[in-house]
Amino acid sequence: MQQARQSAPSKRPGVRRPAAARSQAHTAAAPARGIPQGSPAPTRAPNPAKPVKPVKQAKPKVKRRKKVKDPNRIKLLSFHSRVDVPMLLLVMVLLVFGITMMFSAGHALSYRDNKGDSFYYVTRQLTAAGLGLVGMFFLTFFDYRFLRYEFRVLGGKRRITATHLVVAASMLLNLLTIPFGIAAEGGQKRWLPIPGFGQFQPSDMLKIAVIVYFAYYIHKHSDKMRKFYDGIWIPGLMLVLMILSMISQTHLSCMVIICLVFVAMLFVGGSNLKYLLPICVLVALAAVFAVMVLDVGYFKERILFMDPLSEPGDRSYQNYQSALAIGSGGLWGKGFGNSSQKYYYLPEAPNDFVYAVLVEEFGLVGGLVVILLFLIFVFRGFYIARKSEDKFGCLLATGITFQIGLQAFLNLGVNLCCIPNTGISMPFFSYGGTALMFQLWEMGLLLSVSKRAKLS
Amino acid sequence: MDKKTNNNTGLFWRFAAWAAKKDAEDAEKPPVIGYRGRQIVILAIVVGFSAFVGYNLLKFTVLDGDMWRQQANRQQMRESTIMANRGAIYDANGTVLAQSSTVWNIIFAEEATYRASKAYRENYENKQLKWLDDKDPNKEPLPPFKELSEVIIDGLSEILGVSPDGMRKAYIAQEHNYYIVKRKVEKPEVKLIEQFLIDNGISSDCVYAEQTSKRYYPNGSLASNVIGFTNFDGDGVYGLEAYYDEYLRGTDGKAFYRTDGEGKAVEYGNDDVFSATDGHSLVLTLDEVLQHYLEKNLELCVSQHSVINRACGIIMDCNTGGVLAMATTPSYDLNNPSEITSVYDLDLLEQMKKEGKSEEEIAEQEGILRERQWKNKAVTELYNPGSVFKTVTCSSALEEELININTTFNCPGYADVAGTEIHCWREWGHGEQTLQQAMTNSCNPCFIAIGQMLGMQKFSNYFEAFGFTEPTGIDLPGEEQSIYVPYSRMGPVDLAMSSMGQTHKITPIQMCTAICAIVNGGKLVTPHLVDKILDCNGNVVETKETQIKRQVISEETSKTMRGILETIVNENGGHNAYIAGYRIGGKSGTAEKIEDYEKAGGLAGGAHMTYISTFAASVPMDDPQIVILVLADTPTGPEYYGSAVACPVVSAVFKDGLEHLGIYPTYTAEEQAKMDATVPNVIGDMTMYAQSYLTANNFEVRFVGDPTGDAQVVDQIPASGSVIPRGSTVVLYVGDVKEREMGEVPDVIGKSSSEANELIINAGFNIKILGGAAENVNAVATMQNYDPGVTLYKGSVIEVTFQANSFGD
Repeated sequence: MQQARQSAPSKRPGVRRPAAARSQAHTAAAPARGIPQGSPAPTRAPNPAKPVKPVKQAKPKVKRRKKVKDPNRIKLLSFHSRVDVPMLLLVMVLLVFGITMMFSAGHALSYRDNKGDSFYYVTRQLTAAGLGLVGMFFLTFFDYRFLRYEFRVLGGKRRITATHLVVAASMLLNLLTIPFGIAAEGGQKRWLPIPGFGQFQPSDMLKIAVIVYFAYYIHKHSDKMRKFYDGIWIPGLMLVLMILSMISQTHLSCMVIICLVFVAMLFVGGSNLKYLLPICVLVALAAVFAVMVLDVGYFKERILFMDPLSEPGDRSYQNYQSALAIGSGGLWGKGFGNSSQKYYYLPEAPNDFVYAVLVEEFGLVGGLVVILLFLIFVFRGFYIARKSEDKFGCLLATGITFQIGLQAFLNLGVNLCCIPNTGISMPFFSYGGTALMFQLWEMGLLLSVSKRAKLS
Repeated sequence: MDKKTNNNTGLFWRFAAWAAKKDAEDAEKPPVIGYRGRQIVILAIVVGFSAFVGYNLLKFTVLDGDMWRQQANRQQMRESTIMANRGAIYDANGTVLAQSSTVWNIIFAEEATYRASKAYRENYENKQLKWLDDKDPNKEPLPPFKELSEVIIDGLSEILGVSPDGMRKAYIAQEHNYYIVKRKVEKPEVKLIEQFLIDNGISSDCVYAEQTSKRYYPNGSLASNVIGFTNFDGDGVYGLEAYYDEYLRGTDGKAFYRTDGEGKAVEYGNDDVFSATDGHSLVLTLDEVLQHYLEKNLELCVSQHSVINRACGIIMDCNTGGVLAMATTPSYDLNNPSEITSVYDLDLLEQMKKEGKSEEEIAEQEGILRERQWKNKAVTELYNPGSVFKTVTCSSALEEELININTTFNCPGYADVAGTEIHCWREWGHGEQTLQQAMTNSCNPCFIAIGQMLGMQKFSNYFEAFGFTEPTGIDLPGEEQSIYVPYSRMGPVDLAMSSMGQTHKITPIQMCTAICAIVNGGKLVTPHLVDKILDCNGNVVETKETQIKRQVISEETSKTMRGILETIVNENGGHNAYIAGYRIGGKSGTAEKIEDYEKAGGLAGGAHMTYISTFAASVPMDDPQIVILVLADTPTGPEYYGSAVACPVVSAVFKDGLEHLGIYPTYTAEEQAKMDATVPNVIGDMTMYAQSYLTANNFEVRFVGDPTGDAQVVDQIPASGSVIPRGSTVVLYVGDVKEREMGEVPDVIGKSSSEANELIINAGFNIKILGGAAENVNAVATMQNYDPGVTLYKGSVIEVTFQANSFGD
């Protein structure tokens, strides 16, 4: 392998290096980007056992030249270049830790609410994780650029991409909740029934769709991004359209996350700050007005009763219980499985408040480990984005990383009572099959990007 | 190859080709990413926010950790009390007098029931659907639906016999999740409830039993004033239960456990449990059998002599101070202490109701009466000891050698003390008499003289030495402090009155202890009820030793006093306390309750002055073992002297109980001759043999029918096995005589023993003379076991009780 890497550049002397200053090591890694390897043949598998190397050289060379294609050689699934192993490990650690903690936090509630089945939630979560992992590995070895490959439909009249299909499908599914959605207690129709399987939350899919779409959009219009019309107006309209599709769900936290991811992507994608900043400020002011004056989504109350001690038994009940759980964790925690608050004190122990249970069981140390894990995740994700030479890949990685990181830290904030309680779930940790599955698929896309990124 | 690829029109192949081309293009030109700096901005925001979150985490877990942990514990931790079992109380023979048993409170959890009622209804609806689907034509009809709460309420009220209204009200109110349906339910009922819950598929969240304990007194009212009882919380409030509460109660344990959000305990290994220590048990010196005899006879006394202010009795082991029996009559049922038992008290309440007194007044009065019936008269009430106290005066003077057994006194019928005339009970006086006679006659002027001989200083010293100035220290609560004239304030009249026991007011237990000291050789002992204290495993924790406070009088004086007291009982042909075969010594007393009499306007229910009749006795006088003091407060019958009212109780208790205590009679030859004999069976015997056999057994024989020849006895009266006095006549029926001779019982009440004997023999009956004073010249019949005019078979035995009631005190 080492030999192959070293020999590759010599085989393609005409290739221009991205930067002259690049180190030798970096140059050596270049072929790992999934570009078809010219001919791995003679140099790739040198057999030291064979003493007569030059004699036999001529014959296989001819044969291999036939097999080795030109640089335009086609590859749909590539197994040659390396996935970013730290990222893969990080994802697996988060997944295993997450499901374990979800089980610890949720088995009591599962027992109570599912006729004595302590494993009900964890079984479903594991099923979702299985589906998610299969999708993740498929996507990892799938060339993400297919998402922006334009092909002609309707007899060649229109050119669309897979991204358009993803967006259309997710919007359609979201719209389907209007007639078919399963209403929750508050009247929000957030789930679609899947006969014989369970429920499906289309808003999780929309998050991916938003990321993929704007990555594609910015990539396509990268030269026009600094203009108002192409850089702000059109994407903004698209965003509003997409968000409108989940109108029946009244899923405020999801909308906020989508908007924030959108802003972050525009920002990184190169929107003109001259337009972006004032608009953001305006929207933020409008949001504050809506919250404080019009009292949309009862947000005012959530802000007012954010302090766990403001009304412990009543309106800040969840925050109070969360604070009790986290506070009684101490430095090292009570030990795995020893949380008391999960026994029906924390109303959403396996969902929004896994972190509280985690801190109760593993203390400050456990809590910091989780913060660190997510920080490392964000750093690595952004690093992948940075090193991706493809703008689409860069924005995809940025969007995905930002979305996961944002959700994680917002959830931590809610658990620690420094953010109004909005029902943001924690990636990989919170109970929710659809969310977990799509998160893993996103990880597949991220890893796919990592394969093509020039990571050191 | 390339051609083939290009010709392929599949989407993915075209993409692959496009991708390859892109790769090639990318390789050609530098990648245009741009705006990497903006990524750093976002990263910085994320890092900043994570630092904020991390700080909050630190604040919650470590900086404010203690506060949150405290609040969490307050929310999660519950403590439950593990009740210690209260110790038992045993009598000297190990009979249980008081014990605790586990019982249960039945709790109806109304909130839980309300929550469960939905599921219950659904369950019924499912059953109904199944029933409707069932095509079997013979299917049993489904019972109509009944709400869960109704099922529970009806079931519980039926099993426990309580009114369903309370439960219904609680269920509607939904205020608590805890309604006590019934307290202190026994095991069988709890079992029934458990079965009921299982049968109806009701969760134990809705109805459950909570363990608690109940104090149970197997003997009901026996020794109730001594034992006392516990209150609602299980603390002893009266008697031994109160005095030894610290020992009996034990130490409750505590269990700390975590609960879940629904208040149920979470299984945890680290619960803190401090187990309970059961209470100690008491073994009393009290003898259940003797106590029973004492109570029985006191009750008889109270009803016979209409004792309106209750009677009490103490039996003490005079050497150790151990109380063998202590009773107050009427007593009350320990298992139901609030019920008023005294007929006089009930009459009083009835009277108040008739007079139209308000309910509060009646309730108040009822409370007072209840308090009074719970009191132990022997310890908590004062009385004038009267003539019984003369023993103290006498022994003090003997100890000081101011008098001896032969000193003579003159009684003119009164004594002039500093200008005040104090009368003797016998107004014409006793004339010249020895000390023994003065004691027997209970002559007041003699004892005034003895008191004057002693002087105030010595009298007061002995008064104190005999323990009358301080509580005896008996292990019972509420011992009353005596009232007396101290030396500093004593005048000659006080001395005179005191020496005959009329000034000071003392408790019966003080008097009893003093009598003990007089007869036991002069040692003043501390009376006590508890012999041993056992821990919950039956090991002896503490043994109460005999406590001798001091030597009051010498052994010699005590011996003299024993002789005097024994002579009182034996003199004049026998006292009411006399029992053949026993050496009994005693002294009666009849104290005037002048204050009470005046307070009641001289109309306190009786035709005479209000008195307290007492009698103190000891047995056997050669080596005194026990001392008994019986006190009847305000008898309202025709008799009021101590020897008439209190003495029969002493006599009866001795007769019943001395053998139980291991004190057996030793008869003199004279007594032996007067003893009763058992009639042998002679039915079927030849007359000749029957006659000789009965004669040999000291019986007279009278034949009815022709006894000659070989006639056989066909019947005998009294029947074989009857115990009758020797010399009685046995009537034998001979041959085919069918008719039995009948006679009418004569009225012998008020007759002397010889008159009564004659009357009964003449009527064809046999007489059995009862009562220690039967041979006393003053004795008259006070009771006969068959009423006058009743027809009986001739030869039957009529028991007649004689008493010498004209004894003065």
